[in-house]
Amino acid sequence: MPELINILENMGLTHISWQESVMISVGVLFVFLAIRKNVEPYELLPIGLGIIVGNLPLTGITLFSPSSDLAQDSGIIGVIFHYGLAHWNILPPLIFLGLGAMTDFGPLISNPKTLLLGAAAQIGIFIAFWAAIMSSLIPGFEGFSIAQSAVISIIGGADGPTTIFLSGRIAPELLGITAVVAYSYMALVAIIQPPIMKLLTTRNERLIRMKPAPEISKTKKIIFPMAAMLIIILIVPQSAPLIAMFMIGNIFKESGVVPRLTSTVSNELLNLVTTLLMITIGAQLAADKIFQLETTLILALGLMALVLGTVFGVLFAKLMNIFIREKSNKINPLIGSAGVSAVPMAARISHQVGQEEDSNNYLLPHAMAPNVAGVIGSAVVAGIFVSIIS
Amino acid sequence: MDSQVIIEAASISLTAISIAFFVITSLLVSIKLANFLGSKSFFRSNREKSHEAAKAAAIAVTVMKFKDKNPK
Repeated sequence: MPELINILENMGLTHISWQESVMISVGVLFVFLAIRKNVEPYELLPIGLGIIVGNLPLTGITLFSPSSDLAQDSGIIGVIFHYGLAHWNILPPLIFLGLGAMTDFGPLISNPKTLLLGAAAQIGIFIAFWAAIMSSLIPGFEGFSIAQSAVISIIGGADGPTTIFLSGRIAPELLGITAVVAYSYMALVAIIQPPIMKLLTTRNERLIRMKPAPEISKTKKIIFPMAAMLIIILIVPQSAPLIAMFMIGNIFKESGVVPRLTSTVSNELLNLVTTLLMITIGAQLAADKIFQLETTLILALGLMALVLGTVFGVLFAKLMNIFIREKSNKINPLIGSAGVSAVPMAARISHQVGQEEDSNNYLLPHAMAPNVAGVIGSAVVAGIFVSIIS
Repeated sequence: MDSQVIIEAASISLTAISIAFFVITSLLVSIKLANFLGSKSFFRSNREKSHEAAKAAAIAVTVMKFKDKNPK
């Protein structure tokens, strides 16, 4: 009989709280959206499963005990979280290596002014930074520190790896929640951005057809990432883990002489790291961390940063059009929203919204330029925050 | 609200925006540099040169054929 009581006491069923049940339902919703609605399945499916597993009681799967003599005291997700993110923070740079090997700088080199759109979309980050600082004015809330405000604001870049990188460096206590919020918003750009883009543009603007980008030689595609890597890292050395890995991956690809390495970093390595990262950050969404005012504020401020990034990207494209006299050189303002660095989702959204007005308008190659610039932009801003704040 | 925090946040924002502006300018310079060096024969690979030569030859042949068909 005591054995039976012992087993009953150690069952998760007798320990599950209503908050954990709600979080498990959220996980199931993510899984449903990924499988049935095909909404960003590569992110939502592992995150959803991670949320479910991380909120099951008594599993110990997210625990990490560095000082324990018993090796089995740590759970698999706890170990991946500690070494991959909180302690060594190696997973985000590895993702950037893979992303670099998949990136084409051709559209950016052929149309350098689109770099400014990537920069304009980062303005949302700075406004959200100030909003987070001002959160201490909310009655009963002590406010976020400067480091925490910087991490929350970088969510506006809709760039998961950069958010994780910055959080791990300057505010590790927010790592789990900011990572999940960033990845969730990355997955939801298809829902968040289009209404803003349509609201800020006229039909005629959405119909603008941009000149096809000229072919860029291989030499230029190798020289640019090499020069950009040297210059950016010399100016902001703290951005090196992200920028160096991104450019190395890209030079692998453009050199054309190491196809096996290019294939490995852009397929096997990227898939492996993404799998571990997504499950781990999903499991960090524990019920006890979510049901707090702080978390609600992070969700709201992150959304605000992303919305503002989209707004400034589109408005800046419209502003640039005022100064471009030749009609054939005009920019379709829809590509401005791709300045947020959710690659390649944001560029795909620009293309899709453009095609709703004109099915023969191919904006994707043009939108990739500000999208890539946005990735570099948010990585540089993260590096700047690390160098100033830490 | 602590005015020290406001001053620190303002200083961080200004510094970050200045550095970001500097980085953007540098990136534009590196695009110019890539375009400039990419057009120099020294930096182009043999494969690229032969590809360009083949392209130029193909254009020349097309022009010649066009002239043969349409004599003035």
